[in-house]
Amino acid sequence: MRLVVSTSSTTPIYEQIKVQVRSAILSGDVQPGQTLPSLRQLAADLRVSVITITRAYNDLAAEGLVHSEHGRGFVVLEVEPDVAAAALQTRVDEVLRELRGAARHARLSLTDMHTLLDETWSKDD
Amino acid sequence: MTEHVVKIADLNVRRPAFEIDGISLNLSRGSVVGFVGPNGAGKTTVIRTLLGLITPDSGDIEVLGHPAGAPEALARIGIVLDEPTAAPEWRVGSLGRHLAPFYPEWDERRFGQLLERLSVPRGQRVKQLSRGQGVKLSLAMALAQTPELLILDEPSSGLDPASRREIGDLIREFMVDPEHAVLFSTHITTDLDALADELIVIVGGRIEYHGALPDITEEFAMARGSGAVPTASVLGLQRSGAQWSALIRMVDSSEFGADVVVDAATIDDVVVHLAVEQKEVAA
Repeated sequence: MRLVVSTSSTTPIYEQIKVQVRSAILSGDVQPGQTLPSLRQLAADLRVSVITITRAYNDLAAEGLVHSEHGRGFVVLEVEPDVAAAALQTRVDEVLRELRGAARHARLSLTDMHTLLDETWSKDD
Repeated sequence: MTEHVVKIADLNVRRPAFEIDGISLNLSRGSVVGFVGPNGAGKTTVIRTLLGLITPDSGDIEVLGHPAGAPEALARIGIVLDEPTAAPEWRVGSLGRHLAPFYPEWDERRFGQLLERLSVPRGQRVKQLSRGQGVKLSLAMALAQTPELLILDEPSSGLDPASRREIGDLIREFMVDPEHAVLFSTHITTDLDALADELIVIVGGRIEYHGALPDITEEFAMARGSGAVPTASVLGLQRSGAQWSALIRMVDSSEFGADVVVDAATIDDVVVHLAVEQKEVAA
């Protein structure tokens, strides 16, 4: 699993880490039973604070993707199909919220957004 | 093993030049705590009090399970002040010989590695070092003591960005051990962004905010507008011509209409506006 964070992105760093670790788990890049990098070592390696990593890992635990084990750290769980589906849904919800923010900022109406979504949906890229 | 490295209960220090007004705080193992506030707010007084250098008028202080200033505690605290505490005539490379007797856990090999990594010349006398080299020497000395608690008082003022980054890297490496803790007092609040877990804002000898660092963006926001200020729920209002800006509590953000811009507050925004607010309340 390779993690890359951008400090100039408007997406909070814990969010960037969460999204990347989540896709690594859902894609099978990290296997059930494997441990995630240690909180403190990852903080030092990525040059971010421990609380940033803690928040990302705790969110993943709340989603049922990892489990905190005393003395071992965060262990990747077997992903049940419904958990995987829920996690993918969460990702869509997050993107939608971000989209809503951007659209309101750009003063686009819901009708404008429907049109844009229709156009984007049918584009193949 | 106690969970808290520092416990301060109702600390009062009254001197003609400075005052601490009933401060209580606990610092937990595993945390980097940023300590910020305007000049004269009491940051250095709190630090000096927990090192036993100032005797408080009242209050209870426990550091690493001992009273403030106890030798057993001091031996496990690494301290980085804004200038090196070593004697000016001593040569950098010989400091280990002078200091090791006072620090049971002194690690001479680690000291040598840190000097090399931070490019502090071993052959120089302490007084010949530049300001930046002096701070790096202090940090190397502090870490070579194998401390549990690292206290930094304004280490980064006047340092170039590369040196400040090196200090951040060393602190994060120190924090890989979950038993360790750091208290980092600084005016350069951007140094805390990717480093601190908690933030303490001290203004006029009182703690105005103590919480998880990421929470300040959930607790506070900046509001900017022009003309009349639409509501009284603002902190530290500042005006420039018709424009005004103020810190607001996030819970009050719905009171503002579309003509007021509300966006994220930085640590500096919080410090500056809380300081203005306190002056106004006092006036």
